[in-house]
Amino acid sequence: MLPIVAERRDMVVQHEAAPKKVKADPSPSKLNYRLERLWLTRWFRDLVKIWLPLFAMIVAGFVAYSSPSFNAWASKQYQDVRTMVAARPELKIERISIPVGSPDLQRQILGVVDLSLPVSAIDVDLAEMRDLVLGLNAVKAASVRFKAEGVLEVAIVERMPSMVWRDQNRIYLLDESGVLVAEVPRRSVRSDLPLVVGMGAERAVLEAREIFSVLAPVEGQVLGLVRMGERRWDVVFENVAVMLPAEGAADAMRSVMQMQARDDILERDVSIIDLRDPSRPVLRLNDEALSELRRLRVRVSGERV
Amino acid sequence: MNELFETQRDMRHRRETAIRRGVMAVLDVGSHKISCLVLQFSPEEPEAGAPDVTVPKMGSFRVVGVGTVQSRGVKFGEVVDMAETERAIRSAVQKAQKMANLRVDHAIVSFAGGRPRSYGLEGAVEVEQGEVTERDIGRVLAGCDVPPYGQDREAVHALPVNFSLDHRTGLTDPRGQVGVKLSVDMHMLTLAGAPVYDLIECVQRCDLEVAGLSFSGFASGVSTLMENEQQLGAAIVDIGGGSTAISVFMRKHMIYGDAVRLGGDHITNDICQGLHLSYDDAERIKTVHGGLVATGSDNRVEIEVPNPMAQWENDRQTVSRSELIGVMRPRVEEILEEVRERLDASGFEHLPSQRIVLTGGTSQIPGIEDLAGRILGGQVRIGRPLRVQGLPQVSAGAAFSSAVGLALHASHPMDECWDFEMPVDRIGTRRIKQAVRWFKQNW
Repeated sequence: MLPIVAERRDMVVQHEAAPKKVKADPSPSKLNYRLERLWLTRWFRDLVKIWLPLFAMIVAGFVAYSSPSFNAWASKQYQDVRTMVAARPELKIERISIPVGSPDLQRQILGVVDLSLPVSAIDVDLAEMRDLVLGLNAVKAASVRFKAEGVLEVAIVERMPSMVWRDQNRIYLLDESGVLVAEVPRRSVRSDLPLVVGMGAERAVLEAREIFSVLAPVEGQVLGLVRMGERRWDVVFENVAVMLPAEGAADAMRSVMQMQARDDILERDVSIIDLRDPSRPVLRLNDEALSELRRLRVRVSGERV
Repeated sequence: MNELFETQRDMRHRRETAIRRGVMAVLDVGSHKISCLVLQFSPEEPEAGAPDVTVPKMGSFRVVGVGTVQSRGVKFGEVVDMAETERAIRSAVQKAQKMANLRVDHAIVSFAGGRPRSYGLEGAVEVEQGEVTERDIGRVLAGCDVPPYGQDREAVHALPVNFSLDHRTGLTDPRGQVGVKLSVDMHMLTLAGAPVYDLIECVQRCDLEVAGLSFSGFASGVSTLMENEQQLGAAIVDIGGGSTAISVFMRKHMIYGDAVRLGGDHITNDICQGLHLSYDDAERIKTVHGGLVATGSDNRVEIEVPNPMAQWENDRQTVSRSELIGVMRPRVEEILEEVRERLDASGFEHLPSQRIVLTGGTSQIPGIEDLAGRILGGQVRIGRPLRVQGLPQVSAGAAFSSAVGLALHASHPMDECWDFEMPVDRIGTRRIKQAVRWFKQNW
């Protein structure tokens, strides 16, 4: 039991040598008791554990957001950490490897990517780089990724030119779906590829390819296809032109090829085979043939035209 | 009589509040230990078709926290040092709250001190309208002749034990029955006022509101006696640390309560003096080796007791178990003889059944059943409290019967006199007082 009188005046003893050890009261102090009861109160506990932290976080966020010095400090910290991480040797890129692609295309890709090596991997935006590479005409698909030992690999699928397109004195290469691959100075650069001419020709490449496949037996005689009015094709041979309809051009061409097989129509004195109405083919004769025809008609029927 | 029960009515209101909130503490303040149970009342499952409100059920509670600490500042069940007692209550409550992880604001308190006195009260009144109504019951209870039990005493229990209507007696609930003259037998238990106020003050200093006050003998009886024992008549003897509470039950009501100011601490004191030991060592030897019936083999059982004066290793001190029994037995006999006297005074021998149930911490001494049977006569058994949901095993022993009884009493309160409305002509300004109190409490 604690003494009622803390220290008796009349018997003050100096116990400096060995101060008597007071046994600690095992019961909680009144303050402790009240605080614990407060802590067990539902609303108080919610306040401390949920609402106050939430409020503090919101206030801190707002203050930090609105103070320029803090913003500067934070961005400096961020930059410091970033440069520190960027300086890691594991992230260094020393080489760009392009496994496939013509040397010219490789040169183009390197020009587009434009990295001053060595560079850190976290400074490289792979998605942006891929978009840049895809922006090249000659690239059909691309994937850019980091490989081990500081290599950045740009894997591409090249567009293969399947056609030459001449439009307003400029000569381009088109792939099989009509996408522009490259510009070439002369037709003779790719004389192995068929030629299409005219405005809008690149949008009808599929049809052109079908027509070319029909033309395979007379391949050597074909000069090229001309797109007329962005609507239909003309097939130009050395001395004949075939005017094909807008719809069903390949079928019309097939009928011409049948005529060729039967009558050698392309070797005749015909300047134009007009199939714009496939049900009613029209032949336009050249001048000599026409005059000869007239002469023969006069001879046969005696009439004059 | 109106003024008299005003505190009790306040407590009743607080108890209802506590049950509505669902959390209540039970505080058993003894001389040896203070135990606190935190009860959680679970809301009743809404029945199909019932209005969509959840009201806590009175009966279904669960003990969610238990705190038991050594008592300090309590002697003979009464507070002798307010500050110490307050600290002890504080630590018990804190422990229980910590375990429950709940804050409690209301406490029901039981204690065994205060020199209880029992009174049998009678009252009779003419029934107003042929059929007995609740109003008649209130009137007959209010009309009981209260003996002059002294200004400094406080009525703690006032239980209507028996109602009689004309010539029929033994009615538990006369409402609705037809008759002319309604009379009641009431049992009132009073305690000395000062210990009650001191204890209430101690509890209030711990920021708890006292929602009820019980005599611990009554609470022990509620938890320990079987239903048939309560019905046919039985005495419960709660032998605690500093005092022994006695109560007699009959027809499920307490009809007598008393206390003997002797208990287990006196046995420990005797061992202290008889065997020259420190109090703590004596307590330990009492609980570990204690007994009451010596046999031949007990002469040979040597109990080693700590010897603070020992100079070297072999300087050991031992006592034989029969010596220990020889010290303990006279004191237990004295306690039981005191109990016998009180029971004789209560007219216990006239009851149809004379079962005596011993409980409390001291009832765990081996052999006390035998000794009590010899001194008190009749059938004696050791009582343990009912199993309550959530109560840990360590707190389910005989020492906790009054705490458990309080919990049961809180969930199934017995009708007390102040549970009935007083007739209007006697209330006077009570309504206004109630309104004022409500304002005070809420603002």
